[in-house]
Amino acid sequence: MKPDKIPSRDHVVRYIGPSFVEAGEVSRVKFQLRKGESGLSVNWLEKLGFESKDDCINEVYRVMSSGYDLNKNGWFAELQVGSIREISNNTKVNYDIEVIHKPKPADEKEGVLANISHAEIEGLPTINDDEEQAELIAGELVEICALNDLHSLSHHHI
Amino acid sequence: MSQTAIGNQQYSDLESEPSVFFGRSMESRDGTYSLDNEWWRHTPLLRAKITLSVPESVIAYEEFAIKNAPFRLIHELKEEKRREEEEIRAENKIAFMKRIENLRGFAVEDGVEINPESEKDFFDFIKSGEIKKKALVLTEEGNFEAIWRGEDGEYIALEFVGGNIIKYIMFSKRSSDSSRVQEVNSGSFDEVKDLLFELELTNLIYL
Repeated sequence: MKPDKIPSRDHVVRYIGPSFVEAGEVSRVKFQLRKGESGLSVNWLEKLGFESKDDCINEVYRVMSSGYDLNKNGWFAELQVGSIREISNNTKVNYDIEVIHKPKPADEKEGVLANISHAEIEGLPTINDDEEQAELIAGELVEICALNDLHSLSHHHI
Repeated sequence: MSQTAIGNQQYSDLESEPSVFFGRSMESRDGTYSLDNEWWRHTPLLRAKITLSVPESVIAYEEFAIKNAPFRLIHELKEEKRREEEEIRAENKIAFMKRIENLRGFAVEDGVEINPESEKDFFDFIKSGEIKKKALVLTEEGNFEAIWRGEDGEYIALEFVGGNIIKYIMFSKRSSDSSRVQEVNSGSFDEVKDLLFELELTNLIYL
């Protein structure tokens, strides 16, 4: 089956706990693949169809909270898909990075809601496979992300 | 008539004499003075370059205090600078300590166990120089990671992994064609400091 690539103009978000963020900076480790992962889990905002970004992020939070223990002091790092793809154009980066829509079905037994906006950033090496490249790409991802404060969102919307 | 006054001496012909004052002031015999002055910063001291257009009655006094004068004595400047630097260092230290306390709480919430070796190395590193407090975060392994970012694409992330080793990622300033040097590796404190110097990133990290 052909992979469902997300349009370059669209945006994805990734949840980041408060330990890993300060002063607009994120630990690059949050953008590195762990052993056994096929891609970095993100959520495709435009897929949710809400008018405002805040509403989209609130929905991502609601769905993710059914399966994970999210901290309300946490953040959602937002990345434009086109900017993620452009990282592959860096002459020092040896990997083709792609963002693929991979919706997750509900797990009724565990009470986990269906995650229709789930997606993955694929093509990344793990630290074990290629440490230098994993670090470099994570550094680039950190640079292009914008942070959304979950605490202020949750105060008003959640 | 133009004169240049230095200390308690007087010089004629401003154009031919260097008119550099080290925070000394002057007044005319009748209590008035007229100065056209320019300033420039000469680290670590401020120097006044003073172009004088004063009447002949002017007598220069060394260390004469003029109220609201645009310059001050060199020792006053030094003392003020020293006090400012001390305040910045103290505030910086408090900011680090506060952040570490916050991180201890967040670490529990995020299920991260702080690596004591990393903490020790981080403290050793900040004691080794006047390090600017910017972003301090944890990694999933519980290591401290300090991050600095400049306005021209410069980026430094130092992860203290323990054993006096730092994993680093450094991007230098972008050149005119938007390219920049990107270094990813790990090394000792000294190796990291050498690389910071080589990539001209020291201003970003040190007070």
